Amino acid sequence: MKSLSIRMVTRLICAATLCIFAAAGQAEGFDPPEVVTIDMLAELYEPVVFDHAMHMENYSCGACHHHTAGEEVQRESCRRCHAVSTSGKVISCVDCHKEQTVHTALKDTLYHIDKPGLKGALHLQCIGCHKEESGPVGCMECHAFTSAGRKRFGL
Amino acid sequence: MKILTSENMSLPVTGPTKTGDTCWSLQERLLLGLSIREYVLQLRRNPVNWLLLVVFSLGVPLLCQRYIYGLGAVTHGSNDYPWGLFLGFGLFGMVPLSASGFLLGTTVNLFGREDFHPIERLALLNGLLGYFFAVVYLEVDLGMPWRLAYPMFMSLGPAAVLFLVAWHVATYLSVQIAEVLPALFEWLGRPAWKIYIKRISLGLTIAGIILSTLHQGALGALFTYAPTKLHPLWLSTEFMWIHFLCSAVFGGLAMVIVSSSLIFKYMRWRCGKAFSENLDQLTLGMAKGASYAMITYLVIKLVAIAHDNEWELLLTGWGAYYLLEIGVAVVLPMIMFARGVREGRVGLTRVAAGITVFGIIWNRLNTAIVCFNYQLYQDIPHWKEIWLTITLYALYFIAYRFIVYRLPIVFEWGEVSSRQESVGL
Amino acid sequence: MSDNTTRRMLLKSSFATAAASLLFQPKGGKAHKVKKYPDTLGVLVDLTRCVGCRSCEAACNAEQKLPQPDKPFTDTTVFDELEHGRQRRTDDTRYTVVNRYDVPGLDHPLFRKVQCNHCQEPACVSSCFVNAYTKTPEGAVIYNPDVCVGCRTCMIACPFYIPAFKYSSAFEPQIMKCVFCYDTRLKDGRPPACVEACPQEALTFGKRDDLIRRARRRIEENNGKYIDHIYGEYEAGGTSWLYLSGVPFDQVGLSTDIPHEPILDSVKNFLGIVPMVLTIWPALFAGFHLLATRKEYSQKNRDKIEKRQEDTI
Repeated sequence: MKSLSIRMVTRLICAATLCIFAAAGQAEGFDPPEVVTIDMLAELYEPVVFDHAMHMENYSCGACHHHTAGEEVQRESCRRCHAVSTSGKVISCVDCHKEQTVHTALKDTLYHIDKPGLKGALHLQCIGCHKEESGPVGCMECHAFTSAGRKRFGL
Repeated sequence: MKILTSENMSLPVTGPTKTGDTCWSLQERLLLGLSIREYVLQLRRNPVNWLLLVVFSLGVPLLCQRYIYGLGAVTHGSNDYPWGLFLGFGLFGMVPLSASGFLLGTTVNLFGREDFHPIERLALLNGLLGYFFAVVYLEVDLGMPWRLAYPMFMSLGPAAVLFLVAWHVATYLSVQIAEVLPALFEWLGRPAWKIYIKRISLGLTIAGIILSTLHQGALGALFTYAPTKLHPLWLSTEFMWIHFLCSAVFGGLAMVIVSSSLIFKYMRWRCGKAFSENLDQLTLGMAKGASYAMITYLVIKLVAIAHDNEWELLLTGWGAYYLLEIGVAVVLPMIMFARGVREGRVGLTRVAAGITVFGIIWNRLNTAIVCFNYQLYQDIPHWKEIWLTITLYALYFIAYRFIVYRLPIVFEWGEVSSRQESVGL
Repeated sequence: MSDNTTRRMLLKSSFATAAASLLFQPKGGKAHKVKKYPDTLGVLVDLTRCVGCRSCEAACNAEQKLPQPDKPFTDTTVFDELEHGRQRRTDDTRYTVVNRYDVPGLDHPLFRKVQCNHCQEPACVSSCFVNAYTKTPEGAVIYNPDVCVGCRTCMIACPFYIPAFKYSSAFEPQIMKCVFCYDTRLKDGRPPACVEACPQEALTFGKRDDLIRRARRRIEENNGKYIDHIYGEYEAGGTSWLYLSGVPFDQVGLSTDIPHEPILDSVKNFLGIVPMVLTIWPALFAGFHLLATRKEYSQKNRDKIEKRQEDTI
């Protein structure tokens, strides 16, 4: 129960962090953050400080933000409907990629039925790209264990 | 014992009375009419007993180890090969070899072939002991042997094949006990009790046929749960049960031939007139039955391969092994049986019976262990598992010998042995 | 027997047999029916996503309170461990393991998590003669150690080699297998520990029907990335755990020999004959008996009639 509540709290913090960035982006037009601190896995891992500025310098926004960042939409499957990227209300990851819930009512939705949750979206995006761009891909290269994490993994 | 019976005219115990009017006491009956000292002496003289002692001296500690430290202590404890020798040999091997009870029971009681009567009791006993020890093996193998009765009363899974095996083996064991009881009643001096058994003997026999058909078949059907694990040549989801049933027919007959031959050779003193005089002719009779069952078996084995269209598998290494098994364990003894019957060569049929018994065990071990997980590795049983299997078999041997020594199985209670007759007793 | 058998006795014994067969009838004859639960839950495993981090193993170990293994879960040398030339499998200390597969023509290794697939019509359930297994409406195949006898038929029957036996215990041995975290999570609708721990969302939890739709979509939208088959949709009659792969399934250790029908189907051949034997055999063999001993009977009956006639005279 204790671990559960910790997890919930971290999730909230994490969501809040990302929301703040998103809100900031909305309020001042385009003002993307320099760094993003991701601590949704704070129970087992220390927070990850994501160097957003470095990624912005080297890659187009659309490489990560699909059709929400106002640049060219790269994904074929997105382009079918969102040929023109609309920058606006929804930019940050967590705006779309929520925590997975069980009973997602798939029956009513035709598209976006296979959208990963936040944790999956971040990892798939990061590792997927890092493999191609020779970025860090090992778990420990981004994540440092907390003491609970060390215990969980038998270290 | 051979020497003792030739020395002492009143031995062996063949009837209720010693000489004249004195009855054998229970102790005398148990000790074969010998004093305790004499009995121990004859035990020590027999080299077989020393061999048994060697087996038990290691086997008993191993058995203790199994019950204290678990199955993993005496077997490889493999998760890929959950069934080892205890079941592969003890259950799947012993049960078909014990089909003799229902076969000879059917021959005599149902088909009215009274000429097979002299060997009927041996066949019934062979059946009873085989089943009993199959359960003993099971008790060693089960993870929780104290829950043996759970499938009967505590928690029922009636759609499972093993449920059928459990119920049928249990019921059939009772049927067989009832069938062997008359011999015990005679020995106890209560021949009147026999009448109750005799009245229901036809019912018992038919029950025996039903139960045997189903559980012999069910043992085969157990492997149809593993259609991807057992090599297709050994598994036929359609015909598996009939393969097992049919091979149990010649297996059971061969086992009686082997057992009666051994008794006749090493326990001649125990054999009664009817048994001794008719044995050769009865052996040929059973050999004939066995050879018919074998040709039937061969045909349905062939049908199974044709049905699943597995001809090309015969050209693989497994196919060669399969053909070797069929050749050595079925075709060879079948020809020997047939020739033996035609030419009246009893010795030949006895050798054939020996091969058949080996063949049945080989087939069951192939099915349960060797060709199981044929796409994985081969698991060679732990030496402790092998030794324990031998130990339990030695226990079976002792029980078998103990009963044949005493109860009127191969002789008629109250008959005067030919030797006693010749000296005018 | 036959020298003093009367017809009455024969009738009696056949009645006894008939009664006996009635008594035994319910066994085996009843066809086993596994209920199809409409809202059954499952997990979709995307083998292209798994990176072999073993987080699921660690989570399972903690959730199920299994013994701590010798090597930590960060140790990747376990992928090289071979037992009998085989990669790691589930046993009494681990309900799930991740294995590595080096697929020829692929520049990176693939990983697959092994655990109970929670079949729709599980072979372990249908082979168990004490009903120790249950397929719950939520989709989990759970096990009750209180009635298990330890016969290990479930281990024979499982086409995926999942159930393991606690051989090391003499007094409390039991089957050990993944139970979909039924007691602690699934029955409250929560995903199992392994799914929650998966960083890559290689494991997706949801209603089985939805997962199949998702899987189809994933195959369609990623032109050619996936083999056009959802492993587990039909295998062994369908499983609650489903797999997507970019390479043929047998190259990642999933058996493609497994029939698309439930394992029980291959046993039905035998189960079907049970009622037949129980009902036909008694009559058939009683008939044989009458046929085989007809001469004795007619002689005996003649004797009886004569005797009666003599008595009346």
